[in-house]
Amino acid sequence: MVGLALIGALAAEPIDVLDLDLEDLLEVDTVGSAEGSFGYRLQQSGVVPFLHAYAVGRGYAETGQVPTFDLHYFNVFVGAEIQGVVIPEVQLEYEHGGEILEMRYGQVDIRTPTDALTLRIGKFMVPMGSYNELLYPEFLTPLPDRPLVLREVVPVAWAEVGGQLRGGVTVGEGWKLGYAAYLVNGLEQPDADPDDGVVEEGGELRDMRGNHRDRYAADKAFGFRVGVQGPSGFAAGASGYNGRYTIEASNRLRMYGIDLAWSPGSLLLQAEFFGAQMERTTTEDRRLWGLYGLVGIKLDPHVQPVFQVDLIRPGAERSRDRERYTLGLRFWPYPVKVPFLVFKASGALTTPREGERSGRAVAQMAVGF
Amino acid sequence: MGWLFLALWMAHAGEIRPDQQALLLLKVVSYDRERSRAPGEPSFRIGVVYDEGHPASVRAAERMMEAITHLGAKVRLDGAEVEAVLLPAAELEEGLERDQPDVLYVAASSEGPLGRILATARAYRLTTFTGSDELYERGVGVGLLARGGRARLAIDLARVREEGADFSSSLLKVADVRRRR
Repeated sequence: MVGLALIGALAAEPIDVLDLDLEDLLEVDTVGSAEGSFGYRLQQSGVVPFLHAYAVGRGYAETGQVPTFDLHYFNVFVGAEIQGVVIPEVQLEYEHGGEILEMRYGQVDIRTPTDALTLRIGKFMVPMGSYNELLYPEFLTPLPDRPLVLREVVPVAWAEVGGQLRGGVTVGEGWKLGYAAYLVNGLEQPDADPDDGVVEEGGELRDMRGNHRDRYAADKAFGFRVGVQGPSGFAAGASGYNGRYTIEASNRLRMYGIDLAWSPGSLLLQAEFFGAQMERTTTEDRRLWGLYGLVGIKLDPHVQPVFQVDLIRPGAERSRDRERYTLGLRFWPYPVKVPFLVFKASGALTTPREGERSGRAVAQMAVGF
Repeated sequence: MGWLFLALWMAHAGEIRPDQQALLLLKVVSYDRERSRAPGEPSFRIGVVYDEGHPASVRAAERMMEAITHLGAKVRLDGAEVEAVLLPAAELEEGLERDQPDVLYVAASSEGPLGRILATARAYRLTTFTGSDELYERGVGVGLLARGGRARLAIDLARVREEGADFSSSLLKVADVRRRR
């Protein structure tokens, strides 16, 4: 410490190391009384932290609603790579200009020497299809709005607390088989009075998220996705989920789905189908399903028109059965320098089985950084 | 029991700060009787070797580079300026031919290519240093290590002799010397 202090004091005049005393140099404080902290020690032990974020600003107008601007997300990713084997990461969500603050996910990946097995612990995005886990940030999605099935059947963005095993094996040049299997607390329908003997059931799946701690039932939900990846962005998978969702009865929610994606050349093709069955005590089960198909063509590195068809059958009143046709455009101003900056615009026409048609127009900017 | 565990952990945790390591490295080199530079060469050059496939190693190497660069403005070694060069392990031979370092510092988390690094160091007669306990235990010649809240020098005598160093007894008496492998 004496040596360094001396050097610091005499910075203008270089000192020859021959003039320094070795014993003094060995007297340095390595525990870190001055600069030390647990964080500093972690820094010293090979933890490489990272900080990223994504921002989504948009303006939209919809039949029957007032047009508005909206800072939809400004979400922060904080994480670290520890010796290449442990990767903790948290996504802190700031939605609608800070109106909603929460943790979208907070997970720790523990790798093994083989790609075939990684342990994921914490609150993670549920691998139900590919969109919820891999595509939902708006700097990646083809259109400003999510497909209807990914709001009303799969409640994107859907994260659960528990544990997951995942991995993949290469099965040929350019081909890989992957899997994920998880055990989580699972979706749970809120019940304002959990002791009144009235079973709250058959509700909206979006409202069942956020069961961070089981308080009423020990049952855990199980789910999986198996998939294959190939050349030209080919990916196909099948997913399933099964868990108790009611507090005052052991009614189960079953969910299943298939997903497909392919991007040969300038073409982009995506399709997903999901269905769900919600057991009910007093009436017949609620069954809901939906699908979407999307095609995009990259005209050049900057521009991609996109067309999407949505079909949704929520298993409720007929007015909620509907189709939606969306035409959109993606524009990357700097596709090489800033590939995660994208402008999108879309116009959608929704036609319900009963009731009036409605329209919606959205302009969106998204950037990941 | 908890305090005992904490004390033991503190005694063994972490590394010495990069600037402290750099200064100790230079001081250790000053005890090498085989230390020599090419005639007319005005600088002493530390080659910082790292595993480019390992982010933690890259980070450790960058921090050491920063420390040496900063220190280089303030100290001399036997009148010579001190500088550093980054040397990715995968291209170590090419880097040594190009940059002609005087010693090698092996960045933490470089266990992967360590065998190759040490073999190359022996072939080029370059003394190896590290601030990592793990790397010292795996064969790096000189450890600039932390123990009990203080810095400790660890020297593998057989290894550093293979690497061409001949340290004076005044250094060896204050270092933890490993005489046999």
